[in-house]
Amino acid sequence: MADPKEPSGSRSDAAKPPPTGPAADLADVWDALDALPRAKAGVDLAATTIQLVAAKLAGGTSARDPEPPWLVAWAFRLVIVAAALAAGWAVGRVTAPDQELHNLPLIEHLDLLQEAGSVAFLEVLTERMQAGDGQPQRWFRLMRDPQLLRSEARDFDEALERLRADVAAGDAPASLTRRQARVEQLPPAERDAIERSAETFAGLSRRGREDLETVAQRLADPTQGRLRDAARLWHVIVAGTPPLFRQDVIDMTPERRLEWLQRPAGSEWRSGLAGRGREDLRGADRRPPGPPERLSPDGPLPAEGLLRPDDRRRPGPPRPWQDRPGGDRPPPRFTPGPPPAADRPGVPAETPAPPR
Amino acid sequence: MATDSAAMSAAAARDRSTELMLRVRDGDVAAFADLVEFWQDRLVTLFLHQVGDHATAEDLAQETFMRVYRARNRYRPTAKFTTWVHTIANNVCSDLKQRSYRRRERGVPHSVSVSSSTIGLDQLAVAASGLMPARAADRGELQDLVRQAVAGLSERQRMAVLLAKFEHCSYEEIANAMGLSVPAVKSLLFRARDQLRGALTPYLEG
Repeated sequence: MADPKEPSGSRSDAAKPPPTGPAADLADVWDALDALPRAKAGVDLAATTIQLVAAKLAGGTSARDPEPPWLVAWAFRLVIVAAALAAGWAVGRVTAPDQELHNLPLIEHLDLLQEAGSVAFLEVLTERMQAGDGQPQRWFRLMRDPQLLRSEARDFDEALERLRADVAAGDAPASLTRRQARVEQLPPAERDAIERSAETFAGLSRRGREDLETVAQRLADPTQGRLRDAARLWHVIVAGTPPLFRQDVIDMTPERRLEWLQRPAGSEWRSGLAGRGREDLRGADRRPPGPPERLSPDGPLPAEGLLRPDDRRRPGPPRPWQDRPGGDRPPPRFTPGPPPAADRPGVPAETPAPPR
Repeated sequence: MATDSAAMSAAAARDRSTELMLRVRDGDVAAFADLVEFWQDRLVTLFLHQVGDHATAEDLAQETFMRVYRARNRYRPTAKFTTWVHTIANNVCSDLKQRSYRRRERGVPHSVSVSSSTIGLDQLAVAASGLMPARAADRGELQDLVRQAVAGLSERQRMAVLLAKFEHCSYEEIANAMGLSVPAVKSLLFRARDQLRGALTPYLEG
């Protein structure tokens, strides 16, 4: 009694294998069931069914689909709206982790990327370095602790290497799965830090997130060596800024950063401290800048050393003062900052603190 | 998507219905006509033995096809089309039963027999007592006897027996279609066999 239309004719009862499954369990009544008649559909069943489907496709209603009462119609609309809202919520819940995994390289390196700020800023800094304008004024103030600055440069390079690997891994499903597994294995403290970064990242504007992604792509690009040099230099300058001001420096616009870099160092951080309470001063770098002779670019750590820590012997671009006869000093515009304001009562600060 | 495509091709190769359904999902109305042609007799047979009325069986088959068409976009070739359509058919039967109960509660007469109570064990007993072991029943009598014996089963027992006999479903396929576990299906069929055996004993012993 096998269905002749059934393509898998192996189930035909004609060549009967030993009964198994339901046939075996029904045993002696199985063959008796063969007496049940097979029905034939009416000749118009297929035609009317297709007509019904055609009516549905045309947007019409059939006699079998009476108009629902207004209450039912409104309830139906409400259900649709509620279902759409629920679906949106569910989709959001489902896709949010995926989006976070997609953005994980940016989230994990958010501090580094926000510090770099923008490609425009890094490009201008690169142009200034290449034009032989000399290092930014603030560079010299940082020379007092070369070991610390080298360490900062190494940390930057290591972080950049991790960023480059994460970006190169791409967004393939396997890559996202590995990212998720890696995050799940992190210690709780590191996971909390990533969650905080994710919240910060999510709070950025769309433009802000796109800018950070562009910075990440450029810094991860092996052909963008000059841009990375600029980012590294900027990183050590920020690291050399008193802790109390670092976030303010990072939050500056590219224009303000460039202008700030050209200002003489040594006074603004004290002026900034003057306006803050005792609690704010806790943990701040209270050391005044070193004496002028220690800020000389001829000190133990040449500028190029931090630009490329692994290749410090590489000659850098000629410095303006090197063209002058006997000139091994920075240009005249470099002047040591004034003595500490605390030592000169009544003298106003020369440079305001960076804006918040 | 790649997994979907691989599953799709594998299923299409082993099941013509799946192939047709995938074309229906892609908007091929002609494929839907082929699918209706391919399945209409099978579904009408299934429903006929469930409700005992040919016209109602055709209505239910048509309702099943409409549900298949409405759900075409949700169809995924991860399971056999036969299991999918059996599930829909089972749901259509269940819905009919619920509507039937509601009609009865409202005092609306119904002509469709959807449970063993409407066929009645009395009829079954009469049919069985009229068949002595020594008597050779003719084809018509046998057909009536078996039909009434099947009608005496509960709705779920009947559906399990019909899927096994007419659709050649395995335990797993029946379980999937009816939303039951495999042991539950085995239990259903075991009890159905006992009941059918009891009703058909005179004939079976002959």
